[in-house]
Amino acid sequence: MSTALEQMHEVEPHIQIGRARSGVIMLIISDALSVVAILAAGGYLTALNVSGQFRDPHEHAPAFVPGLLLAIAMVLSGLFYFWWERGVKKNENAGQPLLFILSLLLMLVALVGQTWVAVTLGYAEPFHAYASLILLQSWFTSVHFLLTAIVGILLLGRVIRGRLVGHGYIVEVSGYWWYYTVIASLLLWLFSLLLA
Amino acid sequence: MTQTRRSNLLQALVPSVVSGVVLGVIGALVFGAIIARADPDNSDAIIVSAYLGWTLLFFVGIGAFNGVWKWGFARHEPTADESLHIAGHKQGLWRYFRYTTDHKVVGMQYLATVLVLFFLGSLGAFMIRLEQSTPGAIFFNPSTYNTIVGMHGILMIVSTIIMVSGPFGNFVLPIMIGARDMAFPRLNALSYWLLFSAIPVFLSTLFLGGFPTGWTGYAPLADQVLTPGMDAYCFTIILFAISTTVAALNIVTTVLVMRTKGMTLARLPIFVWGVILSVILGLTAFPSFIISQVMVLMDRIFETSFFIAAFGGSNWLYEHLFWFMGHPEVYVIALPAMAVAAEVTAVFSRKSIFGLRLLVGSLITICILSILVWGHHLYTSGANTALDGPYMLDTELISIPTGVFFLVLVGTLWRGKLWVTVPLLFVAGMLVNFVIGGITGIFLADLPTDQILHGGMFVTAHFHFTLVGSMVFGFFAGFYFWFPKMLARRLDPLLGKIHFWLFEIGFLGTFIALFYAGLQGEPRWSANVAPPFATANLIASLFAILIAASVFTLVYNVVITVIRGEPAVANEWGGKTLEWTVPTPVPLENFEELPVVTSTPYDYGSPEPAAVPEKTVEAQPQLES
Repeated sequence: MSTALEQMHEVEPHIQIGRARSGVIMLIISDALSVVAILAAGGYLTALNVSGQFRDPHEHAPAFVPGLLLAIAMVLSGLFYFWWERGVKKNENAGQPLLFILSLLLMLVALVGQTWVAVTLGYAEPFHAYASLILLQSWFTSVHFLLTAIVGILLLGRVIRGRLVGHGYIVEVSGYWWYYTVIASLLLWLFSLLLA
Repeated sequence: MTQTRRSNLLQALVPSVVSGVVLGVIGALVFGAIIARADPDNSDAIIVSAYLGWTLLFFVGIGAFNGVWKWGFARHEPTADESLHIAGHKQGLWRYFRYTTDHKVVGMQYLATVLVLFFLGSLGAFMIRLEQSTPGAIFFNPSTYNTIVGMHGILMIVSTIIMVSGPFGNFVLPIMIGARDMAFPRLNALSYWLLFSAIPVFLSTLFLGGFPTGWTGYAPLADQVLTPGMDAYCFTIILFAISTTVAALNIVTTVLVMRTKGMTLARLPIFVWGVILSVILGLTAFPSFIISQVMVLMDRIFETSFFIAAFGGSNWLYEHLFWFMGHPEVYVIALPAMAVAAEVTAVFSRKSIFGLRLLVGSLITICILSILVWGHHLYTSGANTALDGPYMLDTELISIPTGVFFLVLVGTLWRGKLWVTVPLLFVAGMLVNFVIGGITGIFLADLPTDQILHGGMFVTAHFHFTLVGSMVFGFFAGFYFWFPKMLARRLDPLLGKIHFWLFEIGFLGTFIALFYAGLQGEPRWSANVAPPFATANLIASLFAILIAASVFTLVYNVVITVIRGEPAVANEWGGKTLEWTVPTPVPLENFEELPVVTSTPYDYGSPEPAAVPEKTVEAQPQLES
């Protein structure tokens, strides 16, 4: 095997870190613009209130307490991840895996909880614009949680296999997405409160 | 012996596009059957779940998830052998049918797909011109005609969005910046195969009643269309937009992180600037398009009402979300094609690009301004007009940086040592057509004239001059320019020139006739031509025959060249960008030694090369000491 071919595989560490950071940030920008599109759509339809039909009187706001509990779970998930990431940065190893496992568990709980909220909203067809928006926000948030949970499970695999040593940047850039998921879900929840 | 052969065959087929398609079809049937059992009356839900099953299991079958699983749960990091295997090392032509990560393979896959999509889109165009050649229905009923128009539109829009960034952005760009591969080779393969997986979904609309909304898929018509063919449109758009997003983040990261030593931003070839700005624009614009199609699907499947006025929705919401993508998309197409034109002009004028920094600044300005112009598509929609003035001003401001592009190209050609090759002919054609497309665009940006011209054939002629006459010509300039590097064969220049002249004359004849029809008042979306517009449409259809002849000339040229074309040399045109410093055909690793860039790539006045091998630079201090 020639040296040049070997070099294809051996990417320098600073390039590995740079490309991971850049890739995840680009992904977040793109996804954040989807969130902005949803928020803008909600604001626009609320402002238009076409024929006074934006919201049917029977379309109630989503229950506050489950939403609040989910928000708390998300904030805690983000905090546990942050503490885990700090440990990884300090020790250059897997840090305190328990913190990460707690973070992942909370994300999984949030996924189940959010899906339950979306399924049990209890609106009747045909949905008016308000209910349509709430459904879209709920399922969009569920999909976010699902993606983040998948990232978390893959990270857990690396923790179990001991393959985070020397790859602390993976924890850092996965953290970008993790925190973004927390912020996006909180934003969408707060927006649903505003619509109510 | 037989067992070994069987095992080799199995290894070749699994994973590959064959196993992907087989599993994808099974996935579509299974997912569709499950939903059909749960909700038998909801045909839209059944169709969309079948598409979902197709997509997920296609990617399982082609092996896209293997790397993901290994990333998390494998006992060790991938070895060099594993990386080379997935890059297609020593796999012959079959690597083009697998989840291969080599950027050159992905570039070739894009090129082949773009040409096929162009061909299919052209067939749609010829059917349209045939139907419109005389008044009254000839071959198609209005619904079929509308579906053909919509399919032609989407095929061409999709093709043009990827026509430069896909093939050349993948094949040439990494070499131009001195990289061995893209930043994320697996995502690179993913972006292509997402596009591939969208094609059967899109073509399935033919068997599901089509989509009579045209390429814009306007709601609430999209909500009300009773045939499930509309679902195919929405799902195709979602897949395509995800594909371009993945490609965009990969290209941006590659340029930011993977540049070789000495390749500063000031030394980036103009083509790289064009592509990176285009994909950044796409990354910004496409999310709203994805959301709009998700909303349409939700309206169709779950009876939500994003776009149904009776339940508080609004068609204007769709128009805003669509055109927030729809207008920047023109520049997603334009920026890389304009950059190709500048690249080609410099090489064949043997001069530096006149005002290179000014051109880069203009492309950035276009990029920024184009995000804020979408409202001009809503002038006649009845929506709030408070922002019409700013939209008009912003749209017209774009003509200033676009004018700089012309200035730069003319300045580069001025007193250059012109080598009139096929690529340069296409650049010349592009300049002529772009002037006409650009100037007629100003009439449509102006609110008073747009009130008269909107929805007419004038608009059709205008955007064809912009997208086809300008950008597709830019693509062909790049196609003839980089073909020898990509396929290691020389296209026949005589056939290339015939292709150009047939295309240019046919194009001008067809669409100038349609400008005339538009000024006479012919509406766009009409299956049957009314008698007052018959002559103009007949002239347009006759000139379209020349375009058809040009397409067949191109196909013949490509086929003949691939079969028995002359082998190309490494630096076919005497270019100074890095792709011309590597051997032809380009080896898997691109460079034996990574280059160190020492000057801009357009310094034709200097006999010194623009880059030297890394080892030479490292050795220099020792020699001096």
